[in-house]
Amino acid sequence: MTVSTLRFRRRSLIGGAAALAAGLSACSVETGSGTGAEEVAAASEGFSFDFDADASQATALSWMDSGDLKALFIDPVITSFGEQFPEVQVQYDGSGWDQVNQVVPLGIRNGSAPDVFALPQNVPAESAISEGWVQPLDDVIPDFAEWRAGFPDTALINGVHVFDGKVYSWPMNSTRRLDITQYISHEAADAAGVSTPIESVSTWDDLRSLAKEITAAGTPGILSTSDHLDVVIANLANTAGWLGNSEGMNMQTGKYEYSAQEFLEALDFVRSMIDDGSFVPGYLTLKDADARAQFPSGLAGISLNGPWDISQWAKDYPDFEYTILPLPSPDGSDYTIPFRETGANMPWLYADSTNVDAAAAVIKFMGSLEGQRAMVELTEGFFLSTIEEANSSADTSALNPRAKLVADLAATFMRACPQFEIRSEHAGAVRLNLQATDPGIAGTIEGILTGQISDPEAALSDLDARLDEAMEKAFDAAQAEGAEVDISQLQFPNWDPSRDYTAQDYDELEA
Amino acid sequence: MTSTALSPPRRRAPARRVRARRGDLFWIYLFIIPGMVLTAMFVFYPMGASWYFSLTQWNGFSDAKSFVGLSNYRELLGDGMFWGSFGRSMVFVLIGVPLRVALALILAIVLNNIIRGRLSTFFRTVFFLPVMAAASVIGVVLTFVLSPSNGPIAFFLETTGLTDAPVEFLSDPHLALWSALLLHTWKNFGMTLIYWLAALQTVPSEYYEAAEVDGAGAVQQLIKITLPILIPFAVIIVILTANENLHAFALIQALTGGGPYYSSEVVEVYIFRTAFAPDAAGGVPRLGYASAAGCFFGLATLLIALLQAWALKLVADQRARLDR
Repeated sequence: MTVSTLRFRRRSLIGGAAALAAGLSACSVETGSGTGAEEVAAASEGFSFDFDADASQATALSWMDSGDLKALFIDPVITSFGEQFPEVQVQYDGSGWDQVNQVVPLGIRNGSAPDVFALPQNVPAESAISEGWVQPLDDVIPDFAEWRAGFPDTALINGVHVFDGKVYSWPMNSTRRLDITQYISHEAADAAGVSTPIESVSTWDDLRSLAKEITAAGTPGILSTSDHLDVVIANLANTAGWLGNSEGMNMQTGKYEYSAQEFLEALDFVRSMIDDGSFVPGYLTLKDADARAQFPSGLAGISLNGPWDISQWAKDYPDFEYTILPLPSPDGSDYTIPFRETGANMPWLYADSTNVDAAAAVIKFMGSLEGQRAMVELTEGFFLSTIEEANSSADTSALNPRAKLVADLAATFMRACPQFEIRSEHAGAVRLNLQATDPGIAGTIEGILTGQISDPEAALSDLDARLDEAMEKAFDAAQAEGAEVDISQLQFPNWDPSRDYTAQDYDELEA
Repeated sequence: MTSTALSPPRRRAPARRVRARRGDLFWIYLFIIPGMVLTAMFVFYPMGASWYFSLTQWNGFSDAKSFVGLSNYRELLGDGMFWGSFGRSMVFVLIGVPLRVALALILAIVLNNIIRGRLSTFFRTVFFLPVMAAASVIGVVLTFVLSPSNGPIAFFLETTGLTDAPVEFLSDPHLALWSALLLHTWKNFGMTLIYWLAALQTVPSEYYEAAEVDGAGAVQQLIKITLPILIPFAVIIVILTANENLHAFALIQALTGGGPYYSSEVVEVYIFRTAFAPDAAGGVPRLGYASAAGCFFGLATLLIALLQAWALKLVADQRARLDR
């Protein structure tokens, strides 16, 4: 019996407590709920993994990250590795961000960090590298060049995965995933006299009217929490034609544009629904995890949140019926949401690991076409790969129809925008010198919605100015340190927001 | 005759007694050492380190610290977010302390003089129970209790017709700080109550018996006997309560996280946010700057404690002069 098997049983017993703990923890990247041993076993049934490596030097392999959906993939892979190499004691800890944030830095200090880990949320990759926490993969993964060539040209990014020409990490899954979609409860809609399944809520007025009807029937119309209200508004602004990316920057101009007209219109739209009384009371202090857990039991009629809710509802409320729709646009026309394809859930190899060959074997498999296809299938399609062939060749019978739907929505509406990090190999130096802007967009939105900020346009213009100034200072500091960067590299005049920005576009820009 | 001749003859301690005393001192210091070492490690060293960090620009996890002198303190003086949180911490002291100290004193007198026996013990236990519970746990539970969408208090207020709409105790920026203050007062009320009950035990019962013989009523006994005797205790109780009210991080972080829009952000929450969780994508933590905020706040706290002690002593001295 492996260590991981023992851990699963314990985790099953404390599943309820973990659900509550999930509500107490603050996660910047939501990837859904945890999973039990039975689910992992069931999900991985029928899968076999081939590890192309000699792991004879290793005696153990420990892996730590925030768990959630990725555990559906990592857990069976590591367990399978332990079965194929019985002399290697394997352990996977998908313990949540709070644990990662505390355990990894402590482990680094006393030399007992896991062999592979997720970086703590407040530690930039540049710092982890400059402090010697992690080591590059180039020299440890067998046939590294071939492995690297399996990724698309723009998948491994300077300042994100690549530093000084060395590959330190890789995108386990794609970030092409809609952060916000509409989830409409059939029970609440039926109670309001709206026929279900709901075919379309395609305009802002449609959404506002439906929210009003549901509210009038006794259930609050809209559920959205302060954890991501700024993202809701940003995405609504995108539906109105705003070109800001997930960080609020228009990559054509290289400037922050939270004070753009489209963003202000989206903000007004959300305020109008709040003024209607359609928002769940107390939405500003409601946490995402609590909202997710309470929505199926009638907290509200329409939830504006991401696809990570689906797997938890399927597990905890299998009879819950709802319609999934993309965000509406002002007049029902098509739109695109620019996103930064940086990849998500990056694992990092501990610099002082004594089990490098075992870790390299597992990482090599996970990043291969076969491994990425297994990830898509094991996560039932909730995770998509940056390797398109892994997505297209995945067994469709293994995919959750709802995951397939949200993936299709993401493919329809999301377009990769240009990234300074891909353009400049010294981008990491800028990132490391970028000071936090206080208050940021989340705080400013909160101030506007509570009425503490009386002039939204002035506040957002001020925020843009402060963000631009912080960026200019970061470039100046990076240049002073010798980095060959220029703030004009934030501008991509050849960006066409209606399609993905490709490696060819980067080449054309430099030419 | 010289003064030397008039002075009493010196008596030298017997050598055996000196040796015994040295032996005692050896054991005393030996047993003090573990406590001193632990205190040095976990109190004095972090304090000293904080002062050093406050003079640096440092993100908290890299080796690269650059010495910036008093730059962090200069920035702090012009930081509106810091002063906003400082003001809210002062609200916790200036309103929370008198409220808790006065209410606890009234209840202590009731429990000491009016409700006696098992009922008194029962109430003492009831009021002390929240003190025993972890502040963060209480905070999380109270967010559910006070939830305007499905909390029992909102349900009660609406079904009884006391309110037309759910009261947003924690998400209304005009209510959040006051809700947190009242909950903090309730949570720690039992501790102040115990202080007062202990102080009341020091009032000799003979004083009350004599006052009754002289025909003094309950109010006169309170004003003329109880309160004057309690004033020296009030000094330390006020300082302890103020100290507790300045350290409300766990409860507020669990209740509101300092929101909405910083309306309940006290200095400790501000320090935490600056040091570990900046509100901006891509920003790195500023442990050096947060340390400066912590050191500045520590000095301000010390000053407040000294002022309280001085003011209360002044009152006690004046009272003593009037009683002469």
